[in-house]
Amino acid sequence: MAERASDPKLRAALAGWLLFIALETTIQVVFKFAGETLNADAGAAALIRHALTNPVVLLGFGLYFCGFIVWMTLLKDLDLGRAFPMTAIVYVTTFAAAVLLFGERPNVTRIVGLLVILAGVVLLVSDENSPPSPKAPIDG
Amino acid sequence: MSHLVWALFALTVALDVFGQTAFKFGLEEIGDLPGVAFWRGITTSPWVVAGFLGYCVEAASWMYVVGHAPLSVVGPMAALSYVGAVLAGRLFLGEVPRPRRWIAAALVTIGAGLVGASLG
Repeated sequence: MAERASDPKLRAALAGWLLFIALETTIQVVFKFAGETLNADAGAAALIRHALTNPVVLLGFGLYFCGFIVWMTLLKDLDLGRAFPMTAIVYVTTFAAAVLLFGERPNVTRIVGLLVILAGVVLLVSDENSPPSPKAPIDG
Repeated sequence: MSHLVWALFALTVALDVFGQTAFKFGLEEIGDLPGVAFWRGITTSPWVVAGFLGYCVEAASWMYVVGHAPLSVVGPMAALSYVGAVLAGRLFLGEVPRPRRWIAAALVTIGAGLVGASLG
């Protein structure tokens, strides 16, 4: 904990994590918009044709791929053991997006459930003997 | 949430656990290589490629789930993949999780149960 905020390595790590949190949250939002246009009743062929031609769906997959690259780069280039619990923030930002952008109204049970999940995730990822998963915290 | 959405949610979590495990194998095989060599190792490792293909299917599955369920429900519940990773490590990799990891997995499971139950 001796680093100062002016430490270039620490700043790079912080910037990487902010980018990661913003990107992961954006992916969930774009996936929500894209997923709403997918209709399983239309049949597999129509579903695939739609997925390959709809710009929002393609944007979602493109961002997903970017998220994958950013995650691999963070794991590879930065010593982030202590910062890894920050991945739990993505759960909070995604939840906030659900409320603010999509007008979802979580009840008390759902909010308590989220807090219990966050406690579990922080406990798990702050475990030093637990290497970070080579994958973003939220699927997709 | 329909049966299809729940089934795709389960598929997403299962593929995520598979992907994590495959990447773990792949990255251990590749080891610590500098720059371009690392990315070349990534793109030619069978484990990483298999994990990546799993992620492609997972992405499509997850997109459908998020599009047809409240994000404030399935978003937090996606943390169940951490529980799957602990179980997969115990069952397939012979890892013996410390009590701390079991407690964490139990918390995520209970929380996911509460979030799912909040649908009413």
